[in-house]
Amino acid sequence: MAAQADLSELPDAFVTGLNALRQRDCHDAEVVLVEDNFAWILLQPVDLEQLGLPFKEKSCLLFARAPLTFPNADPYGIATVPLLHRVDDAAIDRLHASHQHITNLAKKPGYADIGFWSWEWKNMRKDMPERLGDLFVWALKRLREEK
Amino acid sequence: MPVESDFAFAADIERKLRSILFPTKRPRAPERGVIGIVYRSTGSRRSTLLLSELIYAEPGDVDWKSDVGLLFSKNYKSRAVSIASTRKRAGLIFIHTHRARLDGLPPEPSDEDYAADQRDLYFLGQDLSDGAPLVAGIVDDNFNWTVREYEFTCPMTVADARSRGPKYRLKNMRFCEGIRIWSNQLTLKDTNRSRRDRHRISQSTIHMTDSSIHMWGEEGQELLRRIRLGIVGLGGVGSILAEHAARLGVRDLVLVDFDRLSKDNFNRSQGATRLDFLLRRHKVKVAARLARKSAVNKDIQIIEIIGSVVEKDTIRHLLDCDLILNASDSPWGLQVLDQLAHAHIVPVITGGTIIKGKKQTGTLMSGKCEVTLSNPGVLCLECAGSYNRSGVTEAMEAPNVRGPRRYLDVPDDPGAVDTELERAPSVIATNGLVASLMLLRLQALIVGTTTDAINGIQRYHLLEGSLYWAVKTQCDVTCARKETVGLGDAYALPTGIDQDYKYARKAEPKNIVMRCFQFLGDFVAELRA
Repeated sequence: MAAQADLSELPDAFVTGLNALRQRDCHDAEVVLVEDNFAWILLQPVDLEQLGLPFKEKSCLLFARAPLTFPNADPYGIATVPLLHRVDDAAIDRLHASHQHITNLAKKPGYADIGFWSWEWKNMRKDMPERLGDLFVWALKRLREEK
Repeated sequence: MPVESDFAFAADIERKLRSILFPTKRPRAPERGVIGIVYRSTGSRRSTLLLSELIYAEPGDVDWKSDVGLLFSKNYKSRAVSIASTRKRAGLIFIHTHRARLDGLPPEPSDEDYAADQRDLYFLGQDLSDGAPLVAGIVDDNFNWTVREYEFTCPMTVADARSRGPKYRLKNMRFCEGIRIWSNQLTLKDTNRSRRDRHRISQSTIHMTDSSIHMWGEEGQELLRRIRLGIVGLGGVGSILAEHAARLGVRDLVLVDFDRLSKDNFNRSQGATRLDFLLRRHKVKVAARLARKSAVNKDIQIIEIIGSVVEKDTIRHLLDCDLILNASDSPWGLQVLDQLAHAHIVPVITGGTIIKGKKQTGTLMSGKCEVTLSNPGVLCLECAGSYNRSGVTEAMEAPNVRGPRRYLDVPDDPGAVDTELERAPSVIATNGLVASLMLLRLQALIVGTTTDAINGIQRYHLLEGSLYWAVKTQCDVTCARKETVGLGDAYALPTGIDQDYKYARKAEPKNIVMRCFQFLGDFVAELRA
């Protein structure tokens, strides 16, 4: 498990959002990597089988990439460890096994087998920092490949 | 550490202050007063106290007695403290009125005023956060101000706190030197403690600006000379703005850009020579040189900032400005400046052009120039549609993963979407038009030339050749900008690391030898061409 980033270095609004996320869906959510203007947040392990998602893998770690200036900018992209494969072997739209956004995340111990799901979260409400608490629900939407 | 000290507020506060302190219908006591919430805005050279909110007095809260003068009730003071103490970095200001002096100078505090300031502010300040400004202000019938900020030493023990009066704890008292009131137009008032250069404009400047003085008088010319103007983005539009501002009579400029001149931007950079792009000179250096050569004020002062508007280090310098002209088209930069305009009460006039053409046939598909003002109480840039959060998010990404709208031409990352750089076409004539519209807006704000042409979005449509004002003049109901007016340093601007600037820094030659090689290579290529 990667070490958590120093929260005192993060903007107040972002930390408020992170706390909202912890209170809502992901009690153990933590920032595992900060890269310039974005942070990778480890949301929580997801039981794919229990959720009835059509992947060969039974579970995964779910990450979301959020801007440090949230809610002034949109989150962009999610990641899973391991890289997921559909049971019918069909290609997953905009899923990358290698992408610049996950290069450094993949270097963390245990995260080498990783997949980046490109996704703009355009319709997510961003009127206050606490909306970061919606991150997990939105990330699951992407796993379900909802439009 | 800032050496200048100002006091500022926006139109809404001015209106409220006038109605509370100088009511026209009710009978007036010899002195009136009100308590307000203040925040600090810290620039690199100037610290500004921003009056953000007034706490309305209830009947009996403010009383004038002939033997003791003006008194604020305990209840009123405690209400003010309880409001300020719940807000991060909020301080208090006690404002009261004096009669205007016959000599027209700003009001002078009496000995009783000093004693009351220290007593009230010292005790009330104990309940506020560390560093919260503690301020007292006097305003006269002519709306002249005297504002002073107090700093007290903190008692170390309870006995210490009880043993000596507040006057022994006074660490520092500082008078604000300038007062900025932004309503539809800028009112810039000196206090009698001003450090600013208060000499009248020189005879030589008067001769050179004679045609302008015919329009707005020596007073208007003096105002233009006294403002500190920031210009962000010294490309096609910004380089014109720098020259014209200097010719207009602005004496104090802060120029901001990180980019260097190159073959790609030479055709639209006012004042740039071939040698400038061969030497890859910074745009700010070239624009500053041009402004100095064109200045009607011999003593023009230019601060050249090689930096990005989305980075904190640069923002400090922009907080020293009275007004900012933005000619950079980064959505992220627009967002930062829009929020800065409201939180720090420094209006921003922004302008740009979008042109779509067919390269093959050389025909113009569509194009518009747009100039907008961001200022408390008027349409913000986000509601004006000048930027959106999706564009801001994209601008925060590294240039090689950004796609076709990126600013710099950098090699794509293998994992990124492979796209050819499609830089938006730029035409020098439209740059001139945008710069003119921006300067007209500046004149309207500073010297009041065109008072009906201040707020809103002005658009020029290239295909039709028509110039008109957009219908939308007010922010959306859900807009959060009005909640942030005057919060100063207490409001965190959405700054970060400019990825274009980061890339540009990486691409810089590491030492003088490398730089010489680069120059020689470019020089030979130019000769061959």
